[in-house]
Amino acid sequence: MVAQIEHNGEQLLVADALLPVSAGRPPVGQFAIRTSDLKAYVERGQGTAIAQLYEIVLPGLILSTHIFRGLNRPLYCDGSVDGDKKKLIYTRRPRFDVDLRRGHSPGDYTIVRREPPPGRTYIVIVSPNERHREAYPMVDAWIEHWNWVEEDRGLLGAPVDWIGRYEVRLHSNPTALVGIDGAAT
Amino acid sequence: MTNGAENLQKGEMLAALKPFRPVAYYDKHLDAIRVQIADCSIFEDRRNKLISIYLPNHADGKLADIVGFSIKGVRYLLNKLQWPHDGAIQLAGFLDALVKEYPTESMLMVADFYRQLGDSAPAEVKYQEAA
Repeated sequence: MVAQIEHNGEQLLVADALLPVSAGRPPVGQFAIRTSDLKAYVERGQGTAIAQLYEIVLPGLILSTHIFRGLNRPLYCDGSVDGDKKKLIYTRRPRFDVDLRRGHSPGDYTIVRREPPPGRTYIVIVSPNERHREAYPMVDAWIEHWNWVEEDRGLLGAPVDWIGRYEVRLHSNPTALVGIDGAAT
Repeated sequence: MTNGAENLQKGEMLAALKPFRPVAYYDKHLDAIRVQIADCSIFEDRRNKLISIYLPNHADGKLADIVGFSIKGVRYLLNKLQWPHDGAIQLAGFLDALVKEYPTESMLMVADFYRQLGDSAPAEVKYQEAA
């Protein structure tokens, strides 16, 4: 479910998402995007990214094929020098892509569905809501970045070199795991 | 949503959309500088821990091969280069310094791409650490 909620006078855009757990079926949580982040995309004129947020990211988090944790790169975030280790990466291969076609006047636009680019998968990077949990108890994580990346040919729906770029794979939909005989494991 | 509250729905956000211009900004959540020169569906081609190149997903015949790039681990790089951690980062100087420190093919590609943007190149990004 995707919804707009109000909390302490602030509007939040939230979506259902799978929460990473070590074993078993992941429970459903709620991820949000900060209004200030959303507005920054609007101010920069990044219409395609906004269209993808509403068409692919928000409705698709609950459908994620894989969840990884930890970016293997130097990253400072949210007052922590270990910001890279805390990030969660949700990936899946959507059934379509979207572009934004603009008309000649403000507000004149069309969201166009496209074939998904071959050999690519979609990632959404989020931060677990730790420091701001008291202020936003209903938010499990903050949505921070989304885009298409190259797909791994071994682990369907995962980014290429997922072993090298992320610290750990937390969850995979069993249907995405294919044995050497080509059958789902 | 309550009456009078800000509407964050898709139609409202897109109706408020500003015209796109080549843009450079600091992504404080992922500690990255992002440069983007076209508003299109993007494929982030990760070259290494520090560099990703942006390519258009759909070849419509109108877009350049490369439509942007990101430089990741900015705070680490500022430390490495002994640059200040406040205010604006001048992109031309920053890329020059990075090419000297990390003379990789990807870094050269990014610096060359930026140079070719000429007057349309965004000159600086405001560096701001996450609160």
